Amino acid sequence: MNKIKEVVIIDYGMGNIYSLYNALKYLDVKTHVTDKPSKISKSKILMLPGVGSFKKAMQQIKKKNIDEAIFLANEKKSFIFGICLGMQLFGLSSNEEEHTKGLGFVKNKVKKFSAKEINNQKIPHVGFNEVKFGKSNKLFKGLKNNDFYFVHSYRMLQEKLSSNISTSNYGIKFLSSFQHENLFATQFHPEKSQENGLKLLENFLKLT
Amino acid sequence: MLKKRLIFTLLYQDENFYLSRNFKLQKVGNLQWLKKNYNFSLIAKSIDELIILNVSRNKNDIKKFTDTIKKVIENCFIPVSVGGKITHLDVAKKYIDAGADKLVVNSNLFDLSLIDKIAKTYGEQSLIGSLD
Repeated sequence: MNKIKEVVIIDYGMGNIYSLYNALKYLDVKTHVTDKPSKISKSKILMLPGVGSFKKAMQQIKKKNIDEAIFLANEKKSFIFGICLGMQLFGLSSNEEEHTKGLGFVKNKVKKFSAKEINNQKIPHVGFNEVKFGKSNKLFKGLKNNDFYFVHSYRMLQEKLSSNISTSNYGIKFLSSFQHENLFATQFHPEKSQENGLKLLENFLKLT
Repeated sequence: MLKKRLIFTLLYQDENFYLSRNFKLQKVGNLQWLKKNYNFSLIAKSIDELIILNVSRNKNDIKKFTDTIKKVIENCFIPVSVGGKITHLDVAKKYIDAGADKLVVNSNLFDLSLIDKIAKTYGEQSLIGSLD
């Protein structure tokens, strides 16, 4: 990387931050982990990771006043990268446990896979799966193969998103990543996808 | 379509790693030995997942165990599952904070209130039930 970038990982008390921290460190990025709204709102590059329940995540984010800080950062068009639950939180709402409002950056809903639509395969969808993307999608430039690591029971519905997206197939086609203006999001875990994932994170940092 | 996964399992007890031979634990070495002989940052390019299980009966070594996890999985960009002595939600939290993506529950699998708490906090996908 030609210039040292500074990234802030938003820590709202859920999920595995250590691996993402390690991945960014490996890429020579100056990485901070914080739950402080003042630090989050000032950051130019934010990562919103997360594993766990949508409802609990939104409760935590609100409790720590992180939502306001993320809205401020988004108004300033800071780059925000959501991973897994982080991607889902960008959406309008989820029906996990009960109907819960998300950050609403995109107007897409988050829904659980139903046994019927995925031909009675196991839920959650766990493992390495193929990601299909358009040739112009810069996030996926220079990859060895198209396999990324997924672990999720819910996914964001594709609805109106159409450019700079990727899809994957688990019985049905679903949205596995998108880029919308300053927002980047992947349903899979780049920090868990071996070399491919590191390459994708590097591509993201190049775009910032 | 999902790909097949090659998952590697490490057994840990009191700062050493063990192999299970004929249902007996055989010591193979400590963290340095593991790093030297396996070099996980490289091996992670050929295996898809890692499971680390604490099989120790010593109650006080959770801190040592989580420190070891952190060291083992540094620069190891694959999914990691951790198990052993998950008796309370705080143990689960310690493992997750040390870098675990998933929790392997064996003895406490039928402690349904614990299982429910873990599922509600870290999601249903974070739980692996294990029987042996």
